Parts: sequence; structure tokens; C-alpha cells
Amino acid sequence: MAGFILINVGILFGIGQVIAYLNTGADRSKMLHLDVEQERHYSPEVAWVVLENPGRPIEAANRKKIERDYLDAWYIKNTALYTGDDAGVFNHFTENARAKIGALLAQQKKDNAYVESTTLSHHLTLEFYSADGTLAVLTDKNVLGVERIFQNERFMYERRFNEDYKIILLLEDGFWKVRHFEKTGVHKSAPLIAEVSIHDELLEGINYYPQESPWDTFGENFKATVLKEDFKTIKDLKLNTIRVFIGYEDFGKAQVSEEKLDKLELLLNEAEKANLKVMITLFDFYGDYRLQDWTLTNKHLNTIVSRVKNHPALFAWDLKNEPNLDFDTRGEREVLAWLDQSVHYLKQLDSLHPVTIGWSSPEAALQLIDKVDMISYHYYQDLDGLSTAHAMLTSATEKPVVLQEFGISSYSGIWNAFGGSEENQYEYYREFFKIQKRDSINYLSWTLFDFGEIPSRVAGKLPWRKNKQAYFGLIDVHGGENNAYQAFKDR
Amino acid sequence: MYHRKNIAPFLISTLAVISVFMLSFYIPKAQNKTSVGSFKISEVQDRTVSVEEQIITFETYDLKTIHTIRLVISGTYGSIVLIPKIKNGQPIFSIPPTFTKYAGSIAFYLIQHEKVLQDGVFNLLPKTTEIGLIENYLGPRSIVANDRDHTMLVSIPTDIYDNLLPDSMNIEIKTQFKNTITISTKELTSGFAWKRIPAPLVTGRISTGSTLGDVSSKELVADIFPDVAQDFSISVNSNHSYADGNEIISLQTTQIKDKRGNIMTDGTLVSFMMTDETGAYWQTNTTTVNGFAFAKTLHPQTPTTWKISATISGIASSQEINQTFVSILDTIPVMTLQNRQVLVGPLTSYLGQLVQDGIIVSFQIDGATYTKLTTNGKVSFDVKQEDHPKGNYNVIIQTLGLETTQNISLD
Repeated sequence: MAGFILINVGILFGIGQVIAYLNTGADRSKMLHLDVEQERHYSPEVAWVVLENPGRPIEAANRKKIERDYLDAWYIKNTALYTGDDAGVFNHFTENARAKIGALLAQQKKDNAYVESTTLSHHLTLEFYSADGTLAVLTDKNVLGVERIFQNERFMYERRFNEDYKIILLLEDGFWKVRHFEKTGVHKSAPLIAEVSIHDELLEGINYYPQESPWDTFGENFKATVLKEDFKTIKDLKLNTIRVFIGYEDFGKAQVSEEKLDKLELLLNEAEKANLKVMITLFDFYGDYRLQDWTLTNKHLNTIVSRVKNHPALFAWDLKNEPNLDFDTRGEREVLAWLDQSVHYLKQLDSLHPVTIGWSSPEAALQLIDKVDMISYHYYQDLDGLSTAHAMLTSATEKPVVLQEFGISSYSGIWNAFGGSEENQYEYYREFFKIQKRDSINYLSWTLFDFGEIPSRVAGKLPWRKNKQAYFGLIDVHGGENNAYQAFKDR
Repeated sequence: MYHRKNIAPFLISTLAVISVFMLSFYIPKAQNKTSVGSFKISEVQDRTVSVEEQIITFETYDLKTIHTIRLVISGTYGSIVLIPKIKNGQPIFSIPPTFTKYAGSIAFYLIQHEKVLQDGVFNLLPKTTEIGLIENYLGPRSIVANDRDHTMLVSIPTDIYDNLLPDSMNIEIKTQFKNTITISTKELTSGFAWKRIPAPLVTGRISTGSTLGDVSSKELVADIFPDVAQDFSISVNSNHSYADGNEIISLQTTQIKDKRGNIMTDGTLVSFMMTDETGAYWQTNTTTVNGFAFAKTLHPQTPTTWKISATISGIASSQEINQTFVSILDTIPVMTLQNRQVLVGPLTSYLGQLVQDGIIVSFQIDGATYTKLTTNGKVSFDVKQEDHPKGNYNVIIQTLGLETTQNISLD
């Protein structure tokens, strides 16, 4: 009996769903494409150079609509050439233009090739906008972009381009569709931006997280008073620099949160009051690097750099922490290409502050040595090798070399029975300062505090890793000074 | 303090590398085109688009390692990789029609093992000798006959492969309105030509088209509608002016035109508004035919004077006219009393005939009012004992704007 009722309920529900589906007809909002998703997967820099045109003045809303549909056309085309699938091409290209894309896709299929590409910036001029507002002629100058060409699943060539285009768009079915699209000029890629020279003061500093919020400096626990106190402690140790970390997702990816920026500014203000310089490490916990993501990381970069680049406490930009650890999972070429373009873009945004990359080993730091202004490496091996490693780098470049992370854990618990102790840590630093003085090493030690709890995403869930990670500080979890503190004090 | 290292060894090694690098590009003008491990393609000239494959030849090459060489070509929509072919013992690249048909700048890169050996740019030029089609866009498609409005024609001619034509070619833009044909010659800029076509001052239809060489576009038309209406006047027409609640009065406008005499488009909405002496207000809406608007409405039941005007909302209006309605009765209606039943009527009209059914009659007694409609010119009111006990009453009877007071005595 119960089964019979259940079957009937099921049938009625099914019929109901069918009727409900059949009743959903053409929705008015769909005519205007108001329901089109708003999250952007692609947002290159766009500058309108000229809007005056002989046809008719353009309204802000229509300019935005043209801009969006035009950029979507690029995105759709790039995606089609990457995947070989022409999804969305219909909405953004008129029949004749679609035929041209179709021919190219067929050619690619024949060649067993595909192209991964994105554009990073556009400079638009509205050449003409017709009286009835349904035809627009654009020129897009100096379109900067990247293209990677693959054939038979093999990487063939990466092309950075700087090209001009002419576009005629028609308003059809509520979309500005590409009618004509023509490359009108090819320029040499933009020249590199000059290096930044750095003041000659020796860098002596420390990696900093507040004790209560390790790996989450700008989180819920953020308090300016805590920073003030901590910075005073650092200043008492006669250090001149701190290194802080900005999480890519924490700051809101491409849509950078205003609240986080305010916190960053507060931190810089406190550092300025304490007379400390700040090295900002960007893109912490970022790990995508794909071409398709570049416009988003550039937007993130742009928002943060533009906000604080004139702050007197800012010392340098560290683009990414230990990116070489992503070589295996993300591909060395992808990671290096992303770093290269991001350094380039960062230097465009801020030509005054030096840029570095926080490589996890001295050997890795030889990469992109020509692109950065300062070479940074991390060193957690035996101190015996430090001098040689440092000399290897200083002989490879005339640029300043920074030992950006080093230190030793004083953890002596069950997971590290034969390992560290406070005494070891003290000796480590005594030894370090001898080498540092002799070789004039710029350094930032790891780290000011011991931490109560290490987030799992930092060191994984394994207790012997986590616990070790928690005890690199000069100051223990109760606020007391470890022996190592004295090593700093006495250096 | 940053250490400045001795950079001499570094410089020397760099110079060595550079010189080796330069040597590799130093290609003697050899008679023999083959040269070990060295590749260079001949200069690529700008050329006209074509449905044929285009051949690129080598200046120097090495057949042994030619298989490591690729040519990346990058056109408007994307890039492809070309593999060298051997033809008559010589290596060549052939660019497929997918690229050679479409005008624009083509960047090329001769690569070997992911490194560029040579790069450059050439242009594919549109085939100006074979015009394919002229696409015309005309808009707005309806404009107003005045000296401010205009429509715009944009002409985009293309060659047979759908490429935009180069600047400075001439295109004829033609417009025809009634018996006048205008031809103007425009130069293409950015691949298109355009013309602003001012509105004629009379209504009608304007045809446009354009011609380049022996190819013409489709014909596109725009309609010219009259400008805003000017004020107009109205008149009324009725068989008589009695307030009989039965006759129909016609309202009509003069022919409504714009300031240049163009008759309003059929269907223009006109509202007639009427106000009577009590301040009551109502309206009737109608649309124009050939510039005229007509409306009809019923005469009132009570004598009054209407003020009538008409408007095209927000645009034009008429003068206000008065229309007076007179009563159909001169005398107080007759009233008789039978067994507590008050009879009014028969009410007769201006020719002595009975008024039509449905005329409102009201009867007031002792502060109470009763209303009834006539049937066959008459109406009767039953005065109930329980409401109005025996005695003398002053009663008032009102109908068709007239009123009478009488004294009755009820049993």
C-alpha cells in the first residue's frame, strides 16, 4: 500500500515538473540578456583613448556594453582556438565573421594544433557610432597579449604580441557582434622597464605574522594596537625591515576587498611610525598561473599596487613566495611565464620600488635574474653551506641578494625528540650572525613569534611538520623571549 | 653594503657568446643556397589576398635539419604552425587559403626548437579589383519632417573574400525622395563611408542605395513622418439642444497638421474633454483619420452648459467651446396621490410625446429621498405607513432639472 502511494506521489511530482517546465517560456529579461552571468573570467586593462566621433555622441551605458561585448568576443575566440569548440561564437560574431573562425578551427583540427592565448591590455578608439546606435567602428591599438602554440600536443612557440586591430561591430539580437575584424599593425613587444636601484643600507629584518593570526595577518584578528606593539619589539631588536604576506584569495582575487586594503594601509602606517620598511609578498597561496588567469591576477596586482605604491613605508614587492615549488604540479614554463609577465606588469604599475621573487633555494634564485631588481632566496639547510650559496648568487649578479627566509625550529616535543631546542636555536643564530657580519648578508629571519596553531594549508596536517613550523620564533607562545631573542639582541 | 664583484670574466664570456650568436646570422651571399644548420626565408612581400596557397621560399637552408624548422604565422583571428615541404628539391612553406583569403597584417616567426630564427610582418591587401558586396545600414528608419531630424546611411563595401576595402576608394551614395535623386561621392575611411541624410520637410518615403564600380547595395528605405501637430479647432453637431439624455452629439476637429502642412498620421490620439456647470468632468478618446478626429457622446438629462475642448496630449490643443442644453419640460410634472401611492407623470417632451424610459425622478418626503426611473413617462412611489404615518407632508419632486414642492395629506 505504502509503495503504491509512493509511486503515485512520484508520478504526480513528475507530471508537475513537466508542466512547470513547459510553462517556463520566453522570459522578458532574457531578451536583454540581463540574466547573463556577471562573474568575469577575463578582465584585461581597457582604456578608451578617444570617444568623440563624427556619427553621434555615445552614452556611458552603451560604451560599457560595447566594451563588454567586444572583450567577450576576444575571450570567446581565444577559448574556441584553445578548445576547438565554437561555443558562444554565435553570440559574438556575425555570420561572415563566424565563417572565418570556423575555417581557422578546421585548419587547426587538420593540423592537430591548438592555441592558448589571452590579451592583457586594449586601447580603444571609437571611430564611428551610427545615428541609430546599431553600428560601431573601433580601432584597438597596442593590444598586448600572449599566445602559446601547440601542435601534436607539443609546445611549439610562445609569442608575446603588441598589435593593432580594426573592428566593425553591429548590434544584433541585443549583442554587439563582430562583423569585421582585421589586424592592421604589428609592433615589437614593449621594451622592458628600467631596473630600480636600491639604497645601500644593509637589510636586517624579520618575517612577520601577528602571534594570534599566523598566515592570516589581515584576517579577523587584525588590530592596529597589536601591530604597534609588535613593531616596537622588532625595532628594539634594531631591525629595519619586515616582510608581510598578502593572500591572493584572502584579498578577494580580481575584486580586491576595500576592507583588506584599509588593513594593509594601517599596517604600513604603523610600520612607518616605527620606522620600519615593509617588503610585501604578493600572491600568497596562489597556484593557477594559466594564461586564462592572467588578466585576473593583473587586476588584483593593479588594485593593490595602485593603492599603496606611494606609501613611505613600502620597501619592495616580493611577487610570489617560493614559486619554484609549483614547478612540478603546474609546469615550469607556465610558472616562469606568469612570473615574467607579472614582474613586467608590476614594474609598469610601480617603477620606483624594487621587485623580487622569494625563491625557496639559492639555486632556484638564478631564474629570471635579469627581470627582477633584487635576488631573494630562502635557506633552511645547514649554516655551513650558507656562505658558499650566498657567494654563488652574488657572483652571478650585481643586483642585491637577500636571504629572505632562514631560521630553525626550537621545537623539542615528542615529534622531534632528537631535534631542536631553544639552546640549538640560540647557537644557530650566533653562528649565523658571524657569517652575516663577515659576508654582509641582507637577511630577513623566520620568524618573530612561535605560534599556537598553524593552519593546515601551510604545512599540511602531519603533526611533526605542523609542530615544528610553530616554533621558529624568537618569542614563545606566552610572550616570553626565547634564547634566540638574546642572540639577536647581542649581535 | 652590496658587494660589487669583479665582472671581467663574465663580460668576456658574454662577448664570446654574442660573437658566436652574430656569426650564426652572418650569411654570405652564397651561390649555393644550402648552408649547414642555417635557415633564412626570403623576404615576404605584401600581396593581394587570394584563394590560392601562397608560397614562401628559403634563402638559405640545410635539408638535413629542415625537419626541425617551423613557421608560425599569425593573422587576425589566430595563429597556425606550418611545416616545410620539399618541392623540386627545395624547401618551401605554403600558407593555406584560410589565411591568404583574409586581408590584414600577418606576423611570422621562423622557429627551431622553440627559438626564433627570424621574424617579420607582411600585409595581405584586399582585392580591390573584385568587389563582392556592399552592405548598407540605414537608421533611424523613421524620421520626422523637420529641419532637425536626419537618418544616416553607412556603406561597407567588401571584396569577394569579405575583406574591407582600403581607404580613399570612392563610393557613390544615392538617395531618392519623390522625384529628386541625389548622388554624392564619398571616400572610404576605415573601410566604410557614411552620409547624414537630412529629413525632407514633407512626409513620404526616402530610398537609399550605394554603388561602387559595377556593384550596388540593396535598397533601404526610411519613412518620413509629420512633425508635431499644430493647434486646431473643434466644432459640435447635434440635431437639437434639448437635455433629453437620448440624443447623440458629435464632436469633430478640423484637419490636424504640422507647421508645414503635413497631415497627422492616421491613429493620432485625440482626447475630447467636457465639463458641465456642476464641475463634473469627463472625456472621450478617439484617433485621427486623414487628420480628422470624430467623437460622439450622449446629451445630458438636465439642462446645463458644457465646456468642450480637445487635445493631443502634451502637443496641441483646440479652443474651448460652449454647448448649452435646454430642458425638455416647461412645467412641473403632474403628481397625484392614490392610497399612499404617489404618481408622477406622464412626463412629456418638447413635442408632447412621452419621454423615453429611464429618466431619473426623485421624491423627497420628511427628509427621506426615493429615486426611480420612468417607464412609459411615469413613475410611482409607494409611501409606507410604517415610515410615514398619517398626516400632512411637504414633498419635493425633481426630474430633468425641474423641481416642484407640494403638500399632501396621507391617511
